[in-house]
Amino acid sequence: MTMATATAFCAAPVAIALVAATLAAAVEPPELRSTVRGDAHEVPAETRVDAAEARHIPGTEGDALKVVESLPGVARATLGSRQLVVWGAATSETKVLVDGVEIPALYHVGGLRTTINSYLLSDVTLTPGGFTAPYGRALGGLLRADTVALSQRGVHGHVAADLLDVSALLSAALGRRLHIAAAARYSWLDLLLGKLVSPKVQSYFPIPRYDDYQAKLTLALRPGEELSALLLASDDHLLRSVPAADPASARADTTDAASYRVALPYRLRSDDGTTTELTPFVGYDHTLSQTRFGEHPTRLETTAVRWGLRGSYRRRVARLFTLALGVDVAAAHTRVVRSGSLTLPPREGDLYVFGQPPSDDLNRDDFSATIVDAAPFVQGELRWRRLTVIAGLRIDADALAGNHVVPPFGNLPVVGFQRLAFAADPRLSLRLRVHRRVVLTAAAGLYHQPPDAADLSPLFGNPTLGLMQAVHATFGLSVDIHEGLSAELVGYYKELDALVSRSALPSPPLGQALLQTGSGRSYGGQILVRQKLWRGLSGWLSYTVGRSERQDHPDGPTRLFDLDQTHVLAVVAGYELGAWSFGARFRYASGFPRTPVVGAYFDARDDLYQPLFGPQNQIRLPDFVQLDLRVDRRFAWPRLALDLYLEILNVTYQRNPEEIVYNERYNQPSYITGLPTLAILGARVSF
Amino acid sequence: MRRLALVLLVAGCQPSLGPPLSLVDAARVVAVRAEPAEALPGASVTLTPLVVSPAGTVAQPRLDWSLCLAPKPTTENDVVSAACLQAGGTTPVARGVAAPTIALPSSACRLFGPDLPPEVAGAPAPRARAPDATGGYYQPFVIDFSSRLSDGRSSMPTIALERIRCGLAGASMALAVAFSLQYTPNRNPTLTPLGASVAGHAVALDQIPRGAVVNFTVGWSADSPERYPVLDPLAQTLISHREAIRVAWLASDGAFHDEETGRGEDDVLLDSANAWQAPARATIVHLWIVLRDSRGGVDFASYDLTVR
Repeated sequence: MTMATATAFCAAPVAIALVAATLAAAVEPPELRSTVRGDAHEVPAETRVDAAEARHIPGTEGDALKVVESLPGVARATLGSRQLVVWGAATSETKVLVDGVEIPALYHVGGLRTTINSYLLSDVTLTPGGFTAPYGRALGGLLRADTVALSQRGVHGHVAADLLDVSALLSAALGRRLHIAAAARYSWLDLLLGKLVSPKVQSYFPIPRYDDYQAKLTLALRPGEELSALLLASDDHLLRSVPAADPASARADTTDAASYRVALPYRLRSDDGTTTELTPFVGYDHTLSQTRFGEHPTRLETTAVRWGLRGSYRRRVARLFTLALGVDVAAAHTRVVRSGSLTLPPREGDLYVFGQPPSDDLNRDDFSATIVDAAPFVQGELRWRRLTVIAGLRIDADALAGNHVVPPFGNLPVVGFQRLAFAADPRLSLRLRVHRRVVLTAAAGLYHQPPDAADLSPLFGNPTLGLMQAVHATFGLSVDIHEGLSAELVGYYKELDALVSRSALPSPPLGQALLQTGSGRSYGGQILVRQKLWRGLSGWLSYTVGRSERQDHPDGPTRLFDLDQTHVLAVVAGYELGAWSFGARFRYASGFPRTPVVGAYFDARDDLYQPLFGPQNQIRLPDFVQLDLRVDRRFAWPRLALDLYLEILNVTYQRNPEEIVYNERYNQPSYITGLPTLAILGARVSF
Repeated sequence: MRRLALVLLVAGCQPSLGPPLSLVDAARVVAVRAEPAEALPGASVTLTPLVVSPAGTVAQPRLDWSLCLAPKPTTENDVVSAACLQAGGTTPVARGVAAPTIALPSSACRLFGPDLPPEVAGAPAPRARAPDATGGYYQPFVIDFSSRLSDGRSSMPTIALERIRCGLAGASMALAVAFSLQYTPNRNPTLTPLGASVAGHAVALDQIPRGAVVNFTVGWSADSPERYPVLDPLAQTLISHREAIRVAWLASDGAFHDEETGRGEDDVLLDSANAWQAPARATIVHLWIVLRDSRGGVDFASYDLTVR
């Protein structure tokens, strides 16, 4: 691509957004409105946001789960990425649960939308660390979304459309006991832009295509007893093709992702407060990442069949003491088909610069791995006067098996592997109300996470990988200041161990391309000042300062985590004035670390330049600053309401650098910048 | 990270990338032809560089040549180990020489190929190094031009890669035998003379109209794109491939429509075309064409264009 064409494309997203982002219609059945839950939480820094509130926050485009981007402890992710970086942990180390069922990704490919319809959600809870014994298999944080209680009467519809997608929701009460809701969404951004943008431009600006659909059925068995069925499904497709007159210079990327979950939650709440919950689920995931850099093909395809069970029994066994027993089981049988360089897809800690072709080595593997993690847990809750103590123990028993312990070689018979791994994770959480308005909290615990099935490849990874480990310690001080105005100050420290990193050997032994020799730590503090709705005003200020480091090998240097972000500030404010409401969001964040390119050499065989790197992660992208505004106007009739809104992203037209890019000789750095000013005008109808 | 880079393009803006590589604005090595193009470890190869400058081809460049004996770690994404570019990381083999004849290390297939190092008792079994998409392994050479530039400017080092003939890893005995029967060591491709036309009419290279869009066509001999087998280790079969051909275009002035053109391995045509915008003034322009096949074979040619 020449300089002239690259520059010309920059104007395209602005014009496209302003022209096309004008239509939005949604129907919000009043019966599906979620309720605000109590603020009390037992773990420092746990933040819960009502879904209805989240949908009106500027920058979310009405997508409730995207509120997580403005919560404390969450790094500002690169535009268009699917990253969820919580307290310096990798995205894969933070779990996303919907009604207790893990889903593989929060965002659709491209990061434009989350994978769950916002109108089916009740609230969103982020626990950046120190979570309690019922949850595990995560070294980082925990993001939980609960689905909304279904409509108790009538039939309600929901149709929505905007620049990105079109969606529909249907909710019905089939008698007094049976309630059902179903939602579906299909992206049409590619169709809209396909009419406006030439195929050549689309080859440089790939437009993701996605869909998702959900269904929930609730059967009230007896008072306090309920059986539900939940379907969560998501599909993604992204194709980018950069043609070239030289076929060996042509590039193509394909990303496909599909995820399906079916769960049967059962809940029984007795008159004495005893609760029994049981949620079995099955699922299927498929991901395909295929890249072709000229003659260098790379393919990673995973197909996973999943099943699991989450169950708990919680009962007050004494006046001050409540006991919870439960089990959390997750199993996956994964087939991995992979070919290409060992260095692609890249891992955290890899030296890489934007646009660099992969190494030319071509490896091939086709293997299966099964990981079954069964985790019984016990948790006791002592509530004595102003003190609450929650102590728990979780035992993770992992069975890991695979069909290859070494790569296939000639006609030799293949040998599989199987082994067990155990981990005992004690957790402790304290909450002490030292004053009517002041609460101290602290939490600590041990956490384990099984390896990624794709890393068990005998060729690309290591079949002997075991559990990774983390220690969390957090403490907090929360103050109820006045009329819904509260503040919380939290400090945190995480120690990570047995992390998976690449072998630094030129020719690692068989099955040892990856080693479990990495370690790391992250520490910092955050403050959240939050105003609940008071005289029309609501919002929060969150600020996080932190540092996250990694050491790939015990004798290696300590470096910054690839997604380390020192400062993250978000200010969210909303004001309701009659039928009008106004919102604003301001964000500031430090740039991610990058490794400087200090030189280059010419590769005469491939006719291209290759970079020479300086010290790892020694420079940073410039800081990110963005202001978003939103205004809503509601028109209401007896059975109908119309909401108009205007959302303006990046009001100040800040040219935020998102990535460093070099010229072909690697002697002239520049930046890829993010969103220009983007106006989204929409309408919402509810009946 | 690469996936991240991809999605950045969804909504972001890519900045300017600078002048094209096809414009020769300083002296540099742009290609190295090895003869033979593929050799056994221990064999001698003659390396002939193409050094270009705004004043034309550098006829007898004085270059420093070194052998790199450091295999690339799996943590590095480049084509050679970063140690090859560090002081003391290479073994000098020729100094101030234009086209040296160098003996390949006898251990080349163990350092850069599939030959396994000796097993150590109690240690995990070593792994065979993976080939490239053509099944090839390569011995790197480092070419240093910096100390030879008359104007004292520094120049980027150049890496030349000589394809080495090694055994076949991961194959049954029968497949290995079949492979050795089918495989023909790579030979350098051969360029045929350059043709030029303006608006569909042939034009002589010394009669280029100023400001004209010139269509160049270059061809190669019919035996340049060779066939070769590649092992699919999972299917345990040999797959027959045909070499793709790449053409790099360079000039001291003017602008090419494409910096590289070529033919894929399924494309049987034996030529490739490119358009070039001639300068708007009368001048002499130096033009270079570099032909590369998929297995590392090289040919090149230079022309002087007279723009009138």
